[in-house]
Amino acid sequence: MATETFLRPEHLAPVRNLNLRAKLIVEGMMAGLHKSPYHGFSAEFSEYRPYRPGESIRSIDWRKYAKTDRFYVRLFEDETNLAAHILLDKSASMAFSAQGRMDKFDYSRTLAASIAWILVRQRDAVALAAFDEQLSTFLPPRSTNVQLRNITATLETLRPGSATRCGTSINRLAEGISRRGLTVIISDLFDEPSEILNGLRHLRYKRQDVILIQVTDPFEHSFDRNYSYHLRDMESGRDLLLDGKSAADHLHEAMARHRETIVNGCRELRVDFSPIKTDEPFARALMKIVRTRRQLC
Amino acid sequence: MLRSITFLEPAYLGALSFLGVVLLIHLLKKPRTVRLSFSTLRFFDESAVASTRSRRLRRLLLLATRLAIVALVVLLFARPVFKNDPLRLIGDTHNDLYIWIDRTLSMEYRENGIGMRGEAAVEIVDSIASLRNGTGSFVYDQDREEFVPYDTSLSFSVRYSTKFDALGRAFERAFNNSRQTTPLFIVISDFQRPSADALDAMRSDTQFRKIPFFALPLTPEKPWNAAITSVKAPGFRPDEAVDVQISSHGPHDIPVKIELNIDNLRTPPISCTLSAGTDTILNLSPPRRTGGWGTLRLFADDPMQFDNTAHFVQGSTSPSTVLIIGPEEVNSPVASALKAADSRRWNPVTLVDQEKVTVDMCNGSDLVMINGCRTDAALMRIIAATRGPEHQAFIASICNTDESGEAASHLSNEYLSIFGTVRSLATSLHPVLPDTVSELWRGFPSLHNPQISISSFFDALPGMPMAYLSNGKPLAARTTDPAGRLWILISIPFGITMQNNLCESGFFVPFIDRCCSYALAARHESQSSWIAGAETKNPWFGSKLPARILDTEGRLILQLQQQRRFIIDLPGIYRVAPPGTEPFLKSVIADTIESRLDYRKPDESGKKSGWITVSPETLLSGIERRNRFAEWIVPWIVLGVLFFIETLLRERTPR
Repeated sequence: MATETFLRPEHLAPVRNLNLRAKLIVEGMMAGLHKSPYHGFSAEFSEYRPYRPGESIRSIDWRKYAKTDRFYVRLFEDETNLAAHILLDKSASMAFSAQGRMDKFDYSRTLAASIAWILVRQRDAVALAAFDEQLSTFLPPRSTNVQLRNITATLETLRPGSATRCGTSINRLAEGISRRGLTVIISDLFDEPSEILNGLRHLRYKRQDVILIQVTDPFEHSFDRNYSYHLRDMESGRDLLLDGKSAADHLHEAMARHRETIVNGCRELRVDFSPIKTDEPFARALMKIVRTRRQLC
Repeated sequence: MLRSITFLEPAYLGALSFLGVVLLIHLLKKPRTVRLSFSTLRFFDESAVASTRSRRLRRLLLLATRLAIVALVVLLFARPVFKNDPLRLIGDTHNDLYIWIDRTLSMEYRENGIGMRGEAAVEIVDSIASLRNGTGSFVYDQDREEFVPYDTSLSFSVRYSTKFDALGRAFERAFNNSRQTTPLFIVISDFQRPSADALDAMRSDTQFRKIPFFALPLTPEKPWNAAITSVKAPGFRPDEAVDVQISSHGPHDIPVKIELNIDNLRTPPISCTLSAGTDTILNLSPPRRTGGWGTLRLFADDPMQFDNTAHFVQGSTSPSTVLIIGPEEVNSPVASALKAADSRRWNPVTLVDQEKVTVDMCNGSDLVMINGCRTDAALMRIIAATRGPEHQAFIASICNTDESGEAASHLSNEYLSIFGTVRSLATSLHPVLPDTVSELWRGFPSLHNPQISISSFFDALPGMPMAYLSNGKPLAARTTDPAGRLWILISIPFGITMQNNLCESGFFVPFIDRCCSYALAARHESQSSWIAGAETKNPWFGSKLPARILDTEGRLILQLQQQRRFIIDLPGIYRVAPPGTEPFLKSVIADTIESRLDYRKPDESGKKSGWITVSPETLLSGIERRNRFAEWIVPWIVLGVLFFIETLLRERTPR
């Protein structure tokens, strides 16, 4: 619990260095999970190989040793050739924050940096892409620490842009992927669900394990009914005058429909879907993401 | 719309300030608008906007409903009255209702021979009383000068007297007796201007100013009338003509017949047509050559009859006391001339020397004659101390010479500011009359009297000449002194004198008689007939003995003792017996102001006059079809509906 408290977004907000922020989050999370059977993002068994001295004895399959009296290390399918893509939404809507919370974009890039940190620590190749109306930033996959620094440096330079074209951007990313791997999409998903699902379908077609992370602000789920709102769309600039109850009712209903469509689509496409709110501690958010991995459930 | 509403309890309108409180609470509870840049509006479709609009509208409706509830409750307390529909209030038995029926003479107005005003007034009162089941309805009783409970035997009759001050006091008593509920006052009148003005004056009292008075005007649509406006029978001589003024009011000519009746002798009726809207003046010769009282009748089929009869008294009928100041040996022919002219009329005639005359002697006389006196300031001081212009007339010869032979007059420079000289003439003059047809000199055979020889005269006689000398200078003139006393000044001495032979001529007696008659008649001009129903100042107030007023048959009508004012109710001829002097006849006439048909609207003085004018026809028809239950229940139903709406809106409208 102490770790979770420490990893709350409001506590991490003053830490400007994303690298440091990611390290704090991941190490904190690891400290809280040191007895868990965590083996990384990629946990699909592939084959055994003989243990090489110097390797961590934790990787020895003791059951196999009991049967064969030899030390074997269990290898997972992607462990050796996993290429992970992190796709970050940098549209204008991601800049939203309410009640002094960390905005969605900052939260998302912190999450992206943390995931990259984990992946690089696993020696997986990590790529970073960002999009708003189109795919704008792309770092090809690498598994070095330099890549991690590049990723965090790139994330720090990113600024929220214009409107969201989530589906198109996923499609564009999928077009560029040739080998199987992992794709982590971090977005508020404020786009047409059908287009998003088309993009996901495209990724799945490219043999990608997809983790879809929807980052939202808690305020986007619960308007205060005692106020009237003069709202301005951060992407289109359109104005709207609504009373609290109308806004809350309609938003709740529409977002529920939107999410239900996406959840159903993800279930159908075997995509892991993780809704996260920006008031959630990062460690808990990461745990939620990790636990959605089928192999670990 | 608002101008057609007034309130019986306007003080409650102050509670309308609660509307501001309701508005303030609404504004305080109104959701604060937050400006916010939001991530996306894609989840808000038109239905959200429509829902917001409907919710805002509902909030406005809620506010309007609450304001309406407060306003309605306040109005129920303030008791609004629609000026064009006051039936509800009149029918509300919680309010005492005080009704005044105008009983002035003009309410006698009849159309096509049918009297409508009074009967209509009684019908209206009966209808109103039946509407209220007879409870809480009071009608003004003019005799008791107070409001009395309505009685089904209510009848109508006009009165010559209407005491508006007594009416005002009665209204005040009614107002004070009805403190628990605001009384309603209803005035049924034809709203002739004098009555309406008197009512407005009464209503100008502070406590009545804010209370609405209901006016039920019974004004004729096209009024017309013929009326005797005035009758003048000055009475210089018994056979002089009676001047009559007849007025025609209205849009068309009126054929009339006029009949003069003096001492029960009638003249044949004179037919004439009165032109529309004009005054006609007639000179009627009396049927008898003796003075007395008379009646003039106007036969016309006009709506108002009270003004078709006028009573008058010829000025010569009452005896007049004459005081002649001056040397007895000079003035004894003057006294003899008066007795010879009419010993009954000029009675008594007293001769007194100027050293013995007193103020009381002057005050006790109708006519004071000064002749042959020396210039004496003391005499003038006595005259100045007499009671005033209404009591005595004066005849004075101012042609005197003092011992030095200088021209002078006892009136000059002391009293009338007369400056002139007495001229002695080598060639004698004689009197010349200006005419022989005027009332003063009617009956004289010629203008000139050459048998009279006048050797000296005063050459600066002031005032209006009545007769002349043959040199064109005034022989007699009429003037008034600074106190308003009437003076007949004569530029020659008229007793036994060396300066003329007037007293030896046949001109002497009629000259003296007519001068005296003229002086008294002119004095009587200010003592016009009394007005029936109007307050008259008691001229004998302060006298130890009572004056009596009797009718022509000798029945006592009124005894005046310590009253400052008195009222005679009916027009006619009355015999007045003052204390210590001879009785005389007095005419009492109806007030012709009621004949003028000068009507006005009740609320003519402005919107804030406080009058609520109700058409009698509307009121009567409204009473017939009135649904009292509906009038009572509707406001409460409206209030209930408003509460229901408020509850619905409140439950469906979030904070």
